[in-house]
Amino acid sequence: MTDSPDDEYGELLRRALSAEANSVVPSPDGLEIIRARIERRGLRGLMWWRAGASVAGAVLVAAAVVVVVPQFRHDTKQVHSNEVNFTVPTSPEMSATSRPPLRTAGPSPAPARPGVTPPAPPVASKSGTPSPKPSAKPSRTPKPSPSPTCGTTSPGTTVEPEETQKGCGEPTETPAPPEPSETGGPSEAPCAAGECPQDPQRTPVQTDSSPAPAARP
Amino acid sequence: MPPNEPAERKPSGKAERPTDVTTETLVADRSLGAVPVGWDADMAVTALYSAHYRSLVRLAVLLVRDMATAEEVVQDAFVAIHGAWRRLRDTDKALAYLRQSVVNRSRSVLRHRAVVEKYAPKGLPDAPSAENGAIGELERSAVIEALRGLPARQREALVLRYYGDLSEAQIAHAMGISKGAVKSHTARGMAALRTSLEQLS
Repeated sequence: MTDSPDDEYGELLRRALSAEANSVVPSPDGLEIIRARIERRGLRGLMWWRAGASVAGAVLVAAAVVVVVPQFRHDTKQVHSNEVNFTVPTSPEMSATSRPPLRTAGPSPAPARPGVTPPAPPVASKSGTPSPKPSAKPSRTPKPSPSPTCGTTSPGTTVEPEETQKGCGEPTETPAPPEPSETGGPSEAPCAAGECPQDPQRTPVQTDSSPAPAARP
Repeated sequence: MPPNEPAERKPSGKAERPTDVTTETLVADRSLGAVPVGWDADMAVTALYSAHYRSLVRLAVLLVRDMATAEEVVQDAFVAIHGAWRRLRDTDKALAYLRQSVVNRSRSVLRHRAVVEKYAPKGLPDAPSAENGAIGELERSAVIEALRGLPARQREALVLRYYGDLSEAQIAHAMGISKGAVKSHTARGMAALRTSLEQLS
């Protein structure tokens, strides 16, 4: 009564499993196979260790070189700074468009020169060199400087006097304006129009300022 | 089996068991439970091999139904314990580690085999050998066939219970499940086995 069906089948199962297991005879070279696998695994692990150690050593050497030799760091910093310099000017130009009134006054003549008065700057530069001489002597300035400078500028750019005034305004700072003022007689013909009167008004002031620094040195 | 857990292992209260039934050293935590602490991995593997290799191979054969695969599974378990020997907290549980490793690897093998058999063409069933003419052999083959028809977890629980003669706690540890799950798998497996054998008879 105590034997339940599970116990019967349990015993049956136990005997069957034992008989089945006893029929199994493992190969005698199991231990050699296990040792061979362990050796293979060890070699594999050693290879990984070597690879890792070599990589770590390379990284260490590179880091040491960078730390010890300061040139590398400076070079890298310069490279970074150059890159920044290249980037900075681009962005301000874009932003400069948002500030037209303030900065356009300065840079505007620069773009205007190449477009409208390519001859003006050279004239100014040419007049700039002879001008100091006449500027030093107000009496002489009218004779030499006016004829080549204003003569070339005014006739060549008769339509552009207003612009040239600006352009010449820079050169006039030195000699150009004084020409008409003092040489009103001879140069009045080329100046003509109502420009001359304007120039004299500006020129004396500018000439006063210009000769002073020019004379000092 | 540890003598302090007989009641847990034998709920039916059956004290005597046929002496011809071999439980070998699957239950022999005591036989090599005391692996000397100073042993290195090689020495421990050699000692564990001499004491448990055969029984573990037989356990694996019952689980994976293939001699070559069973040996490979057990050898893998020995290689694994060699690599993990330094990390093994309690060297006395080396056999438990090996047993759990064998069960897990056998489970992986069966899972892989199920996938392969699912997509591979089915061959002819194994022809019975001449030895199967005996009544005992018929009974044995019938039980083994019925056992093979059980789900993997139920088969593991029954094999560990009736071949390994392990306690519920040890089975739970080896299978990685709770004791309640062990009881459930064992009961369901026995019920399915009984139904299958009754249909055959």
